[in-house]
Amino acid sequence: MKLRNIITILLMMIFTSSLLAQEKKDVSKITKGEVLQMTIEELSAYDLEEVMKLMDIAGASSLEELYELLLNKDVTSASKSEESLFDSPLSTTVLSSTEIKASGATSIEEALRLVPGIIVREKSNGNYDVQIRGGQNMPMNNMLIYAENTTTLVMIDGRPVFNYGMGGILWETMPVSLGELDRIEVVRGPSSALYGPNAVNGVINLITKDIDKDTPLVSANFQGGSLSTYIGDFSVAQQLNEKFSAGISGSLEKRNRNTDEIYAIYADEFMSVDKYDQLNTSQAWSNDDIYKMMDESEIAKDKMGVNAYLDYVANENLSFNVSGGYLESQANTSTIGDNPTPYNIRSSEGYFLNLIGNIYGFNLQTSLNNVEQDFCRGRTGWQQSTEQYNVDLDYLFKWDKLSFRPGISYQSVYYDDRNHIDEIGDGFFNNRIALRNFAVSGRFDYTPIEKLRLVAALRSEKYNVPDKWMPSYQFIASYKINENNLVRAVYSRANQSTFMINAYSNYNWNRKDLPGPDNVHFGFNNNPNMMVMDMIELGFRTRPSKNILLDFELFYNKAKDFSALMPDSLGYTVTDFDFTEEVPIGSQTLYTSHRALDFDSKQLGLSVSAEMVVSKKLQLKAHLNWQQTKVNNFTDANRDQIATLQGGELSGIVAANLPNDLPKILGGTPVTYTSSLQQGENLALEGALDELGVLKQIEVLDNEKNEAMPSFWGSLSLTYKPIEKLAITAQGYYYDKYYLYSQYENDPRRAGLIEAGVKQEMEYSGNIDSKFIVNTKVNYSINENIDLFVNARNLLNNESQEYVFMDKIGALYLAGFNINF
Amino acid sequence: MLKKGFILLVLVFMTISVPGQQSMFKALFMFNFAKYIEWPASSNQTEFVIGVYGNDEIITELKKLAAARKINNKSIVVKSVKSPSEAGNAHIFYIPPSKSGEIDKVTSFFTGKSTLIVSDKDGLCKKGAGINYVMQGGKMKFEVNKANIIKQKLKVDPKLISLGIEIK
Repeated sequence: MKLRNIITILLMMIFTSSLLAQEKKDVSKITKGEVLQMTIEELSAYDLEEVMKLMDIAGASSLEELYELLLNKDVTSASKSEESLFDSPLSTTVLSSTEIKASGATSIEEALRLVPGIIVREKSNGNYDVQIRGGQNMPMNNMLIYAENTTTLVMIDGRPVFNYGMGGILWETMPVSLGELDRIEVVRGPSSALYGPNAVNGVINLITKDIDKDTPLVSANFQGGSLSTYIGDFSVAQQLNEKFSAGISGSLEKRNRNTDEIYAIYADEFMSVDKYDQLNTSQAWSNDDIYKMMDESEIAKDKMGVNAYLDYVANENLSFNVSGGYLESQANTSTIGDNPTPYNIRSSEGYFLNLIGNIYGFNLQTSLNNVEQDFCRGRTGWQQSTEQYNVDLDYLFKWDKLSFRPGISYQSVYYDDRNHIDEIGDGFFNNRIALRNFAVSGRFDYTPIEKLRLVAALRSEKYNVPDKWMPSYQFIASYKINENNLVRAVYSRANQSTFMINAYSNYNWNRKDLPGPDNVHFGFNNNPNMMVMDMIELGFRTRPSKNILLDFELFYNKAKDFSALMPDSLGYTVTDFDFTEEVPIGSQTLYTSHRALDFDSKQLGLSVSAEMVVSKKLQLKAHLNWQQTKVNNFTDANRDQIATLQGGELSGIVAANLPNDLPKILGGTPVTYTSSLQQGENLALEGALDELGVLKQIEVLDNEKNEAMPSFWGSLSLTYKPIEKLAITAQGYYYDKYYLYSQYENDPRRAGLIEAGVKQEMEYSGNIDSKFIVNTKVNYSINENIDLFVNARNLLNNESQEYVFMDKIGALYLAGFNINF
Repeated sequence: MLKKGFILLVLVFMTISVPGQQSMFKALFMFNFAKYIEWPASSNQTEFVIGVYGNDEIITELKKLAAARKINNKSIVVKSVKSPSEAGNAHIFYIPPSKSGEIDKVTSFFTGKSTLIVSDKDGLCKKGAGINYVMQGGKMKFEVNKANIIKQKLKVDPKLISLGIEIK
């Protein structure tokens, strides 16, 4: 062989070996970037073990991890057992802490704007109205309290935190902050069969972080900015050993309003507290001391909480989780009373304890919540010492195709106002009172064939007031067409409990020097209505490709058995007669209680949500919602109108009987005349009452729209990570116009402003315009442990009211950091 | 107008899709499994047949491999089938997650045939699959059921079992 040939062959060998070397690099030296550049042909040169290593280096599964993280979450609230969100038989959403953090939401309520079916409207900086699907403002045209959401059960780690005073959610009294949450689980639709009363429109379960070996020892989040807003939390947590882990956390939230003025309903104007005080006295709006009520009118929210957690895992069959905490809060938000201003400072201070145990298959949860609650600062009678005790025990039997979870639950709630009043009679209840309920429940989950799942959850609840058993249930069929498509149908019933003010009110509102009756008595009803809702829902969940998740919910519900504070009777006790003026002298008392209302409501709605991982750099999340609510057999009368009706009848009764009774009265024996007329009972009075303009307003309405919820709302958010360290999230939130009409809307005093020419039309009313809000957060990660960010809520400063008579909500600009190590 | 915007966005959601890298690695794994499995010599096929039940992203990846590589000196043929019977001579038969419900149909069809059944859903190694892809801690791994592989008259290298998660 010629030397030249040998050299050529050698060169070729060197060349090819270098080529080979280039084709197949040492796995231990290869970088992530290099792997990502490789084609499948190049990768096929490696053996299985090497391919597995390369997959790890590339983090090839990191996109898959994103799919897992964002589109394949687990949920426990829909069945009380962990399952894939995709398989959830109910309308369910999970917001992970990662999504919440990326969104820039500054509070739990605001984070809920990311959840389909929930509408969130801000009343004042950091105070919100949160509704699942709606059903609020029943009865319409009444007190503002009936616009509060009393049909959603909020829980923290399964512990109910509901306001049993008058129903609803006191969001500022949640002792946890966003930074302490692992996730928020939301189940839409009647869920009393799983969680008891008040889970009527759904359940919001705030789940705190588990402490495990990956939990950072120290975590601190803080942001501050405009409107003197400071929000922060801090936690120290550690897994101490295989059996024990412990943590302690604290949070703080301070926010100011963008004004210190308050709205005066009867002047239709935002004004200083000083001006309000003058008009309140001169126009006899109320006998409240506004300086006591609004001593800190500029503060929107001020809350702090401290929580401690201890986990003990003895073995896989025995574990306990104990948590406890303390909270203090103050919120200037919309009133739940009947004040001439919609503003109301609520404050609370209290503690809770919660024990969750898994004991050889039994699930035990027991908790207490002990809060000193002032529902309306500066008004006597509204301060309550509240205690709530809950015990739930269930057991999950599991066979091949069937599981069965029997359970028992007990709850007792106490309110006691005796320590907050000077003497018995000044308070709302003047007693220590209790609402108790006991339940037995069973949930069957049957999978006859792999694709089909049938669920029946049944619960029967015994209440002390009203003294009766109430059933609730869920019947569900879900069919998993294949891995990527699931259809489901739900039929369910849930009910409210009664509330303290319905069952136990015993309050006298002295209206000395005010127009109308001298006293209004709020009486109890020991057989109050408890609202019941039935729902049919059809759902479809699909993954058209593995990076997209779409969820459709179509629901129809019917609610009945409403009640409201309404006049029973109007009494007039005559004690003397003024012969010069020729009028009787005496006092009028209006007796009110929570009366059953005979209307029902029907709601049809649709929610569509979409989540998409476009790439590792871009993720999208959107939901849109439509609903329509109508009421039937609705007597459109509020308390004042019925009282006026009774007053009309009463004047006739007095005129007819007084001449005969006068000698007796002048002899020193008072005589009481009473009208207990209810609307529609006596049309003979029509002529007389038309002058008062009352009967014209009292109509029985059928098929009448309740438009207190927007018919349409939605959200679109995207998170974009142009580089590893930078994340930009933008959210657009839109709701359509809506009409939340209260009894104040057509109050004669407001109408009088127009008649007197003071106003051409009302400046502020229940007509709330549509609103588009843009939120943006830009987050820069300095390293794995430290993030810096700027956060703009309502970036475009679209300053308008989101809730009837409340603050115009504009922009909030913040900057802050997150530290974990 | 806004309403329309939202609706349009949902439509956009439905049409954009991004193929994952996972399919590529699944295909690479499958290609490598063949190195640890011994098919009976009697087979005088000149092609190495991989059957895929239904339509799945893995087909694209497998076809790229087929164009560049051989298995046991045989050229690779990838068949996307609507029924197992269309790939009766398959060396490997893959059941993507969307067809997991039909595992029984697949195992009964391939009874007595020398076919490695690869599936892609939790628990399928217990229902007759020889190898099953699983996600654990966000990472793709594979389970191996030796008994199921032997039942298909195949031999399996212990190395493969040690690289995967053994299911008994």
